[in-house]
Amino acid sequence: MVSDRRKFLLWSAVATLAIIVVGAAGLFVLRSQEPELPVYGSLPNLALVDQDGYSFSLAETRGKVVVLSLIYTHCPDICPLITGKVQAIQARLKAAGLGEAVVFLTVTFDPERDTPPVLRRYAQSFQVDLSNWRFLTGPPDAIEGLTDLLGFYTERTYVTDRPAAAGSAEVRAETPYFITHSDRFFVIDRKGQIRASLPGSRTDIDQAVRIIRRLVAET
Amino acid sequence: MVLQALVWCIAAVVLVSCGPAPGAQAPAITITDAWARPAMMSGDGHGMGMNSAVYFVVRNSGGQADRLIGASTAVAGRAELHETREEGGVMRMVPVPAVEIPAGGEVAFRPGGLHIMLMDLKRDLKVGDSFELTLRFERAGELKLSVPVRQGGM
Repeated sequence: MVSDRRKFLLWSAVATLAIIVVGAAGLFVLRSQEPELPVYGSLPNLALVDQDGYSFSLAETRGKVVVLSLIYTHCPDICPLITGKVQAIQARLKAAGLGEAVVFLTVTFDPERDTPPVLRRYAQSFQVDLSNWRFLTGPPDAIEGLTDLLGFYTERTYVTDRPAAAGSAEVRAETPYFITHSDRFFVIDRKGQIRASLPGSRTDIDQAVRIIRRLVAET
Repeated sequence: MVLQALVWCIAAVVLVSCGPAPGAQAPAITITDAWARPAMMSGDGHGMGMNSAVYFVVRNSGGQADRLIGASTAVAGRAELHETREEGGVMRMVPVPAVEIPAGGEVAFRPGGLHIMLMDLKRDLKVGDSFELTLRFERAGELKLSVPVRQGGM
């Protein structure tokens, strides 16, 4: 004869198990209802140079999910925010054991000033973990092709006390400038296809990590 | 002795009458949560190095509005009031001539918005460093603060 107390414990265990099973099933259904990540295009096979001066081809990243951000090192406000977001994503993925499956690339859209040593100093000053992250520069026309493909807007604004002279090539060559730019970064799948465009400095870290995890899980 | 006391009394009356008129409280400015982004100078001897940005919260507990009209620091050749503005997903940085600090109110200089931009750095700003920044207000005059360099702003 089973005591009332034992009956109660048994039914409690059954009820708990049922809640877990129903919850897990619900989560599975919700996950499977998430829309497919579209394919926006393919990453071109650009030849670039990393922060240590080594040649780097974007094709080298095939087989890994890529988080691709674009910055310029003279940007005091938004680009450091983007870098900070990507650092937070990198730390989350590393803690989840996904550090090997994902590579982080940051391409400058100011290649004339952002040489490999400048990129290295930028990474150092923001204490970037370079174990799976490379900062890249390259020929201006190649980088312009990349920003065009990504729909990433850039426009120079010259800082001069002589605005009337800013149009001349001589003045421009000597004049500091800032760059008005898009606030986005991108997630590339293992096949080199652009699958997500995230809102840069305003990116929700949880959402970004979910997207990257989905792409890591794709075969 | 009596004469000396009389002179002190007259001096005290003169000093009080030089202060703000009754009912017109002067701005009372305080700065909190100041910090700056790390940045390094140009390493190749030419061109601009990285730029830094300084953030803080300005509070005016006085009864009169004030305006922040400028900034300077020994660590940068130029310190300017700037604001990042978002226009359709594009970030544009614009110089701001002055920022009004309302009476009894506060204005936050935060990443992605208002900031003091430091250009033409005279030394590297590394995490853990700090430097002195002078803010110039229209009514309250100059206010010096120590700014630590750190990561952050997400």
